[in-house]
Amino acid sequence: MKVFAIAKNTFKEAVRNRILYLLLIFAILMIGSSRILALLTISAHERVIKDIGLFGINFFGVLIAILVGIGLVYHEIDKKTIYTIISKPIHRYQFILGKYFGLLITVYVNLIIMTLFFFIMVFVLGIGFHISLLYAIIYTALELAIVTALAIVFSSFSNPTMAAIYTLIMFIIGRMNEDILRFAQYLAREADRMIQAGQQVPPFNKFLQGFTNVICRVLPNLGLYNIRAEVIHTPDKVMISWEPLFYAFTYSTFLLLIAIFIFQRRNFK
Amino acid sequence: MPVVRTEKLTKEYKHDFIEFEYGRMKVNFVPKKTCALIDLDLEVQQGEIFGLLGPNGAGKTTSIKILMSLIYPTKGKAWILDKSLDDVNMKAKLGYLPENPYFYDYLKGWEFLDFYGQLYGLNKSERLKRAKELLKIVGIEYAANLPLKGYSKGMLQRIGLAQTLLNNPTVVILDEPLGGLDPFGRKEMRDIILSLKEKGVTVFFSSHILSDVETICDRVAILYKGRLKALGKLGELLSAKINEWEITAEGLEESKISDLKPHIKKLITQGKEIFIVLDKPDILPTVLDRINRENARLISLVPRKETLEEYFIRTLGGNQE
Repeated sequence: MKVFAIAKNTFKEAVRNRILYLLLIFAILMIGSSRILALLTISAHERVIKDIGLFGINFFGVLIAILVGIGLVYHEIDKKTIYTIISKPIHRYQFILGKYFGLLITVYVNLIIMTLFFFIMVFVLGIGFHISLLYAIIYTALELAIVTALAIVFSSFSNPTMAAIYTLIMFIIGRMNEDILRFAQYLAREADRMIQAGQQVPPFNKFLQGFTNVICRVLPNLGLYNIRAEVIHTPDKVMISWEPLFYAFTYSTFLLLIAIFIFQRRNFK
Repeated sequence: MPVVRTEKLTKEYKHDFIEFEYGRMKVNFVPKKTCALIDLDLEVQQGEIFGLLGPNGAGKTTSIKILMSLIYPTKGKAWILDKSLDDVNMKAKLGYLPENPYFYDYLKGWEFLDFYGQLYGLNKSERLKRAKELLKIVGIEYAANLPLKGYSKGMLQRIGLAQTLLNNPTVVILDEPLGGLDPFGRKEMRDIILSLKEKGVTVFFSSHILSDVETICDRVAILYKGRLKALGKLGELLSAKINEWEITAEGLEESKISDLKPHIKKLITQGKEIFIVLDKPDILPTVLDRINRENARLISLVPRKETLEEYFIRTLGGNQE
């Protein structure tokens, strides 16, 4: 109930953010312009439209989560509105959860608007609608749940500019997570080869192996949610699985616990 | 049972390694600390109006923020209604108004109170009823449908007070409630505080506007540089002895009392009236005798005791280094 009240108020606050509308307009322009870009290709009209549409939805969804989210907790402290909230009979964790769900609702409302526009375009242009498009959107929604939690974590202890930079870096690393894992595996193979050849494994290799392994496991694996290539090229083979849903749930919970842990200890000077 | 109790409450702020002071960067190679509050022991009894006084930077807001769990004490403990400060349910009986309150400026007056009512866990009909009542009590019924963005400072203070009272609290903690208000607003705020006392509500507030405190507080604590300097009933703190005598007389020429001038503290002539301030009572009969002899008319004779302001200067004056 109290979490819901804060979430509702956060949503009211977020929809007043002008950045939100700017991003939404750009997203719609981008999705809309895919038809024109498709003209530049020889035969792959459908693929280009789907590709740009899904990319636009994902890209702008992430931008909205980051740019609207980063200031939410910071501004409450900066403008001292938090004084009268924390002094009410609510726990600090309820405040963080309220902020998170309020932001998530904002992000999802925008996701729905962008998706509707994209689907209308798909129908109007007579491109065959395939259920895999919806799967891609669901995966984006799951990814956004994690990105939103990231924004809340960084917003709980740093100013908006730094929070935006941190969240963006985490997002980029998260997207490259699988590549980093592959790199770690490559390093391990190289080390094996050296041992078999009777050579000494350089300490730097060992350090890098450990480092990349830790990064892969601790930082979010957002590559899991990028199924755009499959949706466009082999739509019939796209299957939806529980694993990404479970991962998004546990990882967001983990992030929110960190945010709560930090927020619980803060002094509001 | 004391309603608010603190025991050796201390708050230290650690300075950052790199600090910006007045736009200039400062590096603290040696870790630096500032004590905002040192060993504060207080007890506020039920139903009293308790004033926390002191100049700026004395530690008033720090104490209140600790009580509201906005900051955590470095040392010491505190209890409100016999519950420790981390007991969230205790806050349901508490009202708090911060200094220069800031609120969500996009909410309308009633929406704002409705939102805060939800945080107290009130149901919808209760919330609407309370919001309506309180807007009337604080005198801004007309602004119920106006976003807070359009509120003046005084109106914000009023709606701030309204949110403080949403839950019919048993303890109200106000940080500089009289700051930013015009004389009318100050009077109304004082009246509201007094009416809370009538209902048995304990009021704990900080202020540096001493004349207001004098008229409404049962007991006061005086803080200075983080330390408690004095605590008690106003009548006990202020010296009971009469400091000065103010005499106003009509028709007495200044020349007739020129011989007494070395004993007179202040002498002002305004038209026919003469205003004399004596700081020693021994020449009072002589002055009164002169007035009588010269056929002048005594208008008033006022014995003056120490005011809170004078007490402040007397006790803290020596510490102003």
